[in-house]
Amino acid sequence: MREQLLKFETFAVGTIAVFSGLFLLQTYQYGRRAALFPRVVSFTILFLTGFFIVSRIRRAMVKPPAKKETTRIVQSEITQAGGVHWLLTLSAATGFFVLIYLVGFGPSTFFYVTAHLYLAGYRRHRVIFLFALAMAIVIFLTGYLFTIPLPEGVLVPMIVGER
Amino acid sequence: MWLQGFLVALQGTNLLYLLVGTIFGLIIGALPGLGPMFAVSLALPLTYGMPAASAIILLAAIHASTSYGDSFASILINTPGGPTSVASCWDGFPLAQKGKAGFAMGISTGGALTGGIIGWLSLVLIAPLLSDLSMGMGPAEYFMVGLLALSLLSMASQGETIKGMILGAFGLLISFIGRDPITATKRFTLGTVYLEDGLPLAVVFVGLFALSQIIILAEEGGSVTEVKEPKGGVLDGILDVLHHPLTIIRSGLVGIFMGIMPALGPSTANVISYLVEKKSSKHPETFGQGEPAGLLAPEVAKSSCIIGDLIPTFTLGVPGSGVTALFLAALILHGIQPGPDFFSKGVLPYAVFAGILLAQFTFFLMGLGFAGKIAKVVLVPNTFLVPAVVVFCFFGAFAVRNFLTDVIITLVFGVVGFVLYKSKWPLPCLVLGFVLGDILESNFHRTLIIGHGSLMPFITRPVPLVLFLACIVLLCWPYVSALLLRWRTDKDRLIPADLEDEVER
Repeated sequence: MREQLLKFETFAVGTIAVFSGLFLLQTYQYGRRAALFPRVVSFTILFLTGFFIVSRIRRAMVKPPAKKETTRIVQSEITQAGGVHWLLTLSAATGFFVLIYLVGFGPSTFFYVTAHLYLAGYRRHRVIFLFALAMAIVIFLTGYLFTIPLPEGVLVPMIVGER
Repeated sequence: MWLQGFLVALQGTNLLYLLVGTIFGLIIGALPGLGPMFAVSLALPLTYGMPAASAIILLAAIHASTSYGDSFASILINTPGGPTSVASCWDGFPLAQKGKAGFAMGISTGGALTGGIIGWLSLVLIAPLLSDLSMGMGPAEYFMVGLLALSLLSMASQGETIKGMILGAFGLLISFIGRDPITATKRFTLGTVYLEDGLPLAVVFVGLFALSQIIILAEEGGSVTEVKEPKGGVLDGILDVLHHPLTIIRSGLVGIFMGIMPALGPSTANVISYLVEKKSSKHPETFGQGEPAGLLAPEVAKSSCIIGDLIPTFTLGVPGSGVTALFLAALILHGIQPGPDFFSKGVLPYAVFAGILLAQFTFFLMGLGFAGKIAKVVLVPNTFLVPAVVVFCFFGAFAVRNFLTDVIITLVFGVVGFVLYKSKWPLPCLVLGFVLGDILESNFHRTLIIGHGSLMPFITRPVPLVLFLACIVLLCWPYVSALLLRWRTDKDRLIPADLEDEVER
């Protein structure tokens, strides 16, 4: 039962419930008109999440969950397929954002693409270099053509000086 | 006049603008997050020096082709090019995974053209009538239309009713972030100026659908499809469109209806038409697994909605969405005053309408020529596809408003989308709630203000009352139909028993 309760979706529902609970508390700071809809929706979410959790508890009490043996197998299949774990992809994407903030969009595109390809296990250095460079150039040109003021990064003015 | 209009639209320079606008729109459309709003606003200043007809033709070509190009990424890599093509992923991508990417692109191309023609016909033939209809709709009617759309949650939840309702309500809740539409009270902004405008639709959708799917592709490795020999080409897909006349009619009507309603735009039409089609289908269980009608419906609705959106803009001077507001600006900028007497202003309006029709054919021909080649993206290894799309996701999220914070929102919703996808939660419900939140809330309060605090306008006016009853029917139908089915099964079981008795006797 404990395993069932700790199942991820129960955690997700709990997060949504906490989120809407906080929203609900906030609504008491607003006027009647501004608070009406958020309050009604928050109450609805709390009711629905409560109902969901209770139904899961009842289900867990009735039927013991079968132990899943598939996780390790699936994981090994993913590794064999040359895929990158979701956490690595996400970490690389977060790193990309930090790089954008620090050194700007163009250079960080080059670094990010290079790093991602290495993380994915690709080892043809020339291809990696050319692909990353091509992506950085495409981003630079697209930004230039569509007059999008791409971020230059906070480090660039510090090094080059304010323009 | 029509002939003269077409002759103007077919002039060499205008054809060139059509071509340039189409290519420009296709490129912008294919980038995640960037949709017609971005493309048209970018091109508007470039039209200052152009003749009026050429300017509107260029913008019409950009508008139509951006929306069409939006579906490329939806079908091929399960990442919507913009909020208007979210539903195109749901059956487009499964088709691509089955090795039918070219076929899916064909359906998208044919559907977009068909929807465009339906929208154009409605614009030309019944525009004044439809405008009267839209002007006759008050906030009570809009609220009920929103409620009716929200009642499709039961359909969107795909058997996971409670999860669907939780997500729908969660979508509504996050749509309330920002200033209240009536009193302008700041709500849930955490004291930041950034959140005062609310969460931007395009940025949230890039995260929810594009980034989350890319994480999944990264996990899977390989390429989108392992089928090296494509099954069915673009032409097969286009011809398949003709096998779904009822889907075309249903989605066309949904698109036009959503188009003429201010605030209900292609992003709503796209999702609603998918759900309506699924509800009308004899095999709803095939939806989400590569059902051609599931791709055709949102494509037709989107294209017809885009032109339907122009009806109140041209005939009343009331823009139905942000993009049509830009069209209105372009019309006024070039000395064309929209209004009920729009058609009595010489050859120019006819040239504009002819240009809009030609724009549909231009992107169709481009699609016919290049969609098959673009479809080969599904064979590119995910190892290369993933970083490229992440870069374009971030680029698109940033370019919408030039805020780096938007990229953080994309990242956050990317994680949310990934988690919900992995736990098999019905994401369309979140979309439905998020898109409809503002419409529901603002129109509810407007109705209360008009009714001096009374809820009576919701039931004393015929249209809201009918829509309200339709909501109840729609919500109760799954339970009523289940009861009917059980009753029928019981009855069938009784008949043979009776017959047996008779035989024995």
